[in-house]
Amino acid sequence: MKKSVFLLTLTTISAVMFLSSCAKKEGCMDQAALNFDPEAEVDMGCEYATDDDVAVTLHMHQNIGGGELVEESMYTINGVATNLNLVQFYVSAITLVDAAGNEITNDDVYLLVTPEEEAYSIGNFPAGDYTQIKFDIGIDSVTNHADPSKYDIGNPLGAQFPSMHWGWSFGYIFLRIDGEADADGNGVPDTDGQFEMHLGSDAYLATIEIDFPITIAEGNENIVHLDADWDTFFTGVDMANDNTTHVTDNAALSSLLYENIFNMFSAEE
Amino acid sequence: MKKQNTTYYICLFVAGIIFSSCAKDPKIIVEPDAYVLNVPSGFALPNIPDDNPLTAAKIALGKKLFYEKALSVDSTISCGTCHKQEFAFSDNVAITAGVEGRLGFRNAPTLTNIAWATEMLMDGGNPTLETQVYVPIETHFEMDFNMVLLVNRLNADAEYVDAFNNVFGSNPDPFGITRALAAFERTIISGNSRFDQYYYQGKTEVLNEQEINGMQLFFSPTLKCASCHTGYLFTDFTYQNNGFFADYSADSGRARITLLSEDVGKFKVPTLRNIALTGPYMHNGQINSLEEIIDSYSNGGSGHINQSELIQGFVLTAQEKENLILFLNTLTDNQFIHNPDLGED
Repeated sequence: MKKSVFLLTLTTISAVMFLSSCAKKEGCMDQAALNFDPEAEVDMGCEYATDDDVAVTLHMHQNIGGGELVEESMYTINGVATNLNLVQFYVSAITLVDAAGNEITNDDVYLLVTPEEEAYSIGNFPAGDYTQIKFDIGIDSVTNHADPSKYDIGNPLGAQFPSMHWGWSFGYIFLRIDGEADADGNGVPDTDGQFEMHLGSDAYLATIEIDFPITIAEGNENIVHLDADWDTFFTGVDMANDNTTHVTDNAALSSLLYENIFNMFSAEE
Repeated sequence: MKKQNTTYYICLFVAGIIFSSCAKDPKIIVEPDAYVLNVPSGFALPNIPDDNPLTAAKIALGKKLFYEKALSVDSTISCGTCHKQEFAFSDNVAITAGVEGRLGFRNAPTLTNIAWATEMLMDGGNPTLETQVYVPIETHFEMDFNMVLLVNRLNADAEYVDAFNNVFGSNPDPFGITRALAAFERTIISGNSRFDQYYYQGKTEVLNEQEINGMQLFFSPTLKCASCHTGYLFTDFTYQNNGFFADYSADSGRARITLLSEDVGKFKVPTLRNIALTGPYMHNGQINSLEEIIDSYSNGGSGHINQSELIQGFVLTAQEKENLILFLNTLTDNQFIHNPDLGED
């Protein structure tokens, strides 16, 4: 009898040990946490911003033709009348760099930036003086090829309408512009002139570095003001005749737009 | 003493169950309503993702979604519109029209034994059955819908809200939609053709002499068919340029994903199961008959720079060619195309 109790105990202990070590991936299951892991099936605790850190807001001012960009409006781009119907892009890997070169990155903040929304919470950073802000336009290669259905709708990385994800090559659309251009030269954008500039895939991740003094302090508003200049983005583009790309179908246009992305962001003056 | 032994065996048994549940073996799933796939003789078990164990209720929901026209923007087409059971879950036209009659650029592939596929789409651009679900739903020339709008649409339907809550414990969402559809698709299994009965079930009388001769030709080192169309799945899932065309500018195949010139014109080797039902053939549906296929291979292909070196031509008599086609017809699984578990209710 004693022996069977011993056996039972041994079996139970070994089974429990084995169970906890197997299959299910451990990690943080709270989407609001800094270390959220969409693959996690067993909650092993989450990390949240500490009290020493200060919430920082990013203001993205989007400009074109000397004014503010408003979606579903008409602009003259490179001499061609153009409706910009949808303009949105991902900003991620937001990093503040101090004078000594120390970098603080909020790896888990992904922003889907639209002209409608100017202010974005970019998480908490330690109070201090910084000399540079660095960020990616796009999504890092690991997250880029994760399953978007593991994120809730409403999360920037979840399903979007209009879609910001390609199924056919399985990755996010880093930057999406839909519009209509004046293809026949009568000064009015036509439905025949519909275009799509959709940039994505790992090779098109653009890391932007902007040098300017940023002070983060408790009690301040702590807003980082950036400008996105869309005239720069469209530089060199033949808006009437060569205006559509989904990367693989028009590599030349994609490369041109990608190079322009590096020049379009600046600190607000 | 007897009691002690009994306890000992109970312990072993309990340990066995718990240990097995850790293994990736999909046969042992500890959920009460676990569904065991009916895997044919000669087949290995397919890999089932840890986050999508099969249950009867999930498969039933997936089937309902598979035949659900509300997946398309104007509720005119379902998955079953292009993947018809009578054609082994492919279609009998070169390019099946999407919504508003829009034509894409690829032939609807068969879903036969899709549970064993290692990558999705002819160019391998999408990794899993779950993630592939977005492709037809959001492609302009297929369903032209959007996952967010589909979730809203299903949440407005009490029957779906009940079914999703029953299966996933939550309202319709992208996770449930993708998991349920993939679960149903994993049951699209064909392994009871006359070839299977002969080769895997030991029923030597089901193939006649001509068919057996055709089978020997198929597996012969001269024809090399089974170099790529190998094993119980009749594919090795590699990407090959089979030299059917000289120009791939309309669809570069694998190169569309890798952007490599050496991948131009390469497409995933398809299964040959139910091949007599899945024509027209090739990525663009431009080849109409099995005869034409054998002719192209026997002629040694187009000579495209990326053409597989296995394709070097061969000579068949008219009788041998007929026998080879007769053998390919033995891969048709009539039970599969009439299985009510897979058909639209």
